[in-house]
Amino acid sequence: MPASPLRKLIKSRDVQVLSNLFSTLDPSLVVLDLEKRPLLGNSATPLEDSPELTALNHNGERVGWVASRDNPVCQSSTAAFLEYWLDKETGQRSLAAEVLDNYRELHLFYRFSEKLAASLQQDLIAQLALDEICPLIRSTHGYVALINEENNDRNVIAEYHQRPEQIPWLAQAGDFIQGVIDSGSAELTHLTADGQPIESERLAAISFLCAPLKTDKRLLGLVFLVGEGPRRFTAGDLKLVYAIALQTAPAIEIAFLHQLELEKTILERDLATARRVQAALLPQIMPTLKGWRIAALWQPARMVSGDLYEFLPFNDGKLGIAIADVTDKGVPAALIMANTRSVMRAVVSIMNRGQSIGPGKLLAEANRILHEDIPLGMFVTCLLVVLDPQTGEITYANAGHNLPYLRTTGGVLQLRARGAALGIFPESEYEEFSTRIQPGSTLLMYSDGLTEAHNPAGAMFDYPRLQQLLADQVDGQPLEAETLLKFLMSKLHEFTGPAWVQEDDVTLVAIERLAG
Amino acid sequence: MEDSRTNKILIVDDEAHIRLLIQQTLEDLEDQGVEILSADNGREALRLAEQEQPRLVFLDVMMPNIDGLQVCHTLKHELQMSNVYVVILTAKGQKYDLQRSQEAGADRYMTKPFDPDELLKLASNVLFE
Repeated sequence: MPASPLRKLIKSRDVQVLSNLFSTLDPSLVVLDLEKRPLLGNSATPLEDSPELTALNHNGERVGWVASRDNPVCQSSTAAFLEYWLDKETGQRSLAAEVLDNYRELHLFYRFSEKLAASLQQDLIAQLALDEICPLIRSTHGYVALINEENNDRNVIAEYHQRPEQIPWLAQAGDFIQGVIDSGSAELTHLTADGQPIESERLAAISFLCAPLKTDKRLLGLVFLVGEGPRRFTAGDLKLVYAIALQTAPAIEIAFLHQLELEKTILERDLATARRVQAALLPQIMPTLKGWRIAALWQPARMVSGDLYEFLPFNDGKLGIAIADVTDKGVPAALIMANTRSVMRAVVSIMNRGQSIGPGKLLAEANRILHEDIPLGMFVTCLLVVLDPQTGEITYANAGHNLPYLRTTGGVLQLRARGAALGIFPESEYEEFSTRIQPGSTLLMYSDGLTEAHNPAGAMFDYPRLQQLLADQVDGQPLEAETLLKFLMSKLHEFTGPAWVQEDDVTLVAIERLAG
Repeated sequence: MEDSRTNKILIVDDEAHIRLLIQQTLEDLEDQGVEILSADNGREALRLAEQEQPRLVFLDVMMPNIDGLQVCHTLKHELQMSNVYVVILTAKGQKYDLQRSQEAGADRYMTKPFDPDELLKLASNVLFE
């Protein structure tokens, strides 16, 4: 037999106290439940002997009866007392229930904060939030979605289902959710059983609750919850979910930044490997030619570089010296740099099997091949010098690269040669020029990372400064190849200052013909 | 063999509202036939415990006359009630109190404000598992 409402209201611990009180007041008094079964007092009192029973009401509903065979006044005042007592008792319990709800909320925040601190994954954080909040506010269904900033797509990263069936009228939540996204504030709405919006929470069959996940900078996503049947959401639930969303959003943002950091670490590791691989593509040792000193320096602006230099031995004993600079820097430039190097080596290797081919034709052939591989908008500047170490004669052609300087005993000359950079036109041609490097003279090839470096005031290092520095002598003697490159770099650092962030890759090659 | 132990829980706290909150938390268990007893001081707690043989006792620490730790120690070591599951409930949360609770023989230590769900779960486990 189910417990009567009155039995639920009068706990067993109260029965003894009240029974004692009633038997003292009137030994014939009995309190009955709705079905007239005795609950308190003298259960032996025959009801048929009692005058009319007094009804016992609570919250506007009948919950039982009071009967007294001997004392009608006591019967009515006991009924009045019990109604007053029940009212106090339920009030006290409601208050206790509310305090316990507050305790639950408080502990939810304790637990949630503790767990949040231990998680750095967006989906786990979102699941934590749902798993904590849904049971507490008795939500039957919910999800957390992130919003893609670029296309506004919503990506559900965590879900909660108390039951697997599809929630009815979920499709109707679309406009409601969009409203929350637009306003940036949490909202609550109620629907009737046939899916019509309704103001009254008491009459609602279903409630939707949606809170934005936002930081001070941006909207990350949203929490959407459904409440059904007897447990619709209240304004208190809305505040609680909003508070949880406020805690969840920064945690998700931190997890996102952590993920970025991890990816960055992996990328940096890959780049460090790429840098080692790329450095290995450059000549590891300088060519040794009798009567000549050759030095080179390569300093990327980033982990990898779009600059390259290469020594290309010819069959007839001549030496090709190439310096090249890919537009832009970083990974895209590095990929093209590697390709350019391979093409230059292949072209020289294949075309120089018979008689020696001049630098102009070599550049034209390299351009023809590279043009197919280099993306639109990118190109490679390249200066190719072919040196006859016996005579000191150089033949050179230029695909848009910085003009080299020849430091002679009589002064510093700029060697002029023009041509389109590699990769721009499919059929470029390159004019060849010749001159002779006399004993005691040095040819300097360089990339624009040197001449186009800026100082804090915004001034450029530029060509005249380079030309002037090349003319400098130490103790009346010109600087030898390697020392010259170090000297130029020290002057560059002097010019740019200690806080310089290198803007572009710097590559220098010095070809010095020894005096005498 | 039928479990002869009682389905009684004793709540001991000198503050009426805490007793009420714990009773309210355990209301679902009352519907399942669990009897909830309460005492507002240590002496009454020992008397009730001896008389009613509860399975589980929630015990406040700071109480007049006999404090909770003493009650716990007496239950566990003097009244031959080592089987009773004692939960110390305290407003303090310091390591020292935890240590003293363990020394008194308490099975569990919870701080106020308690987590109602945790408290109900604990009571269900002790009584029904």
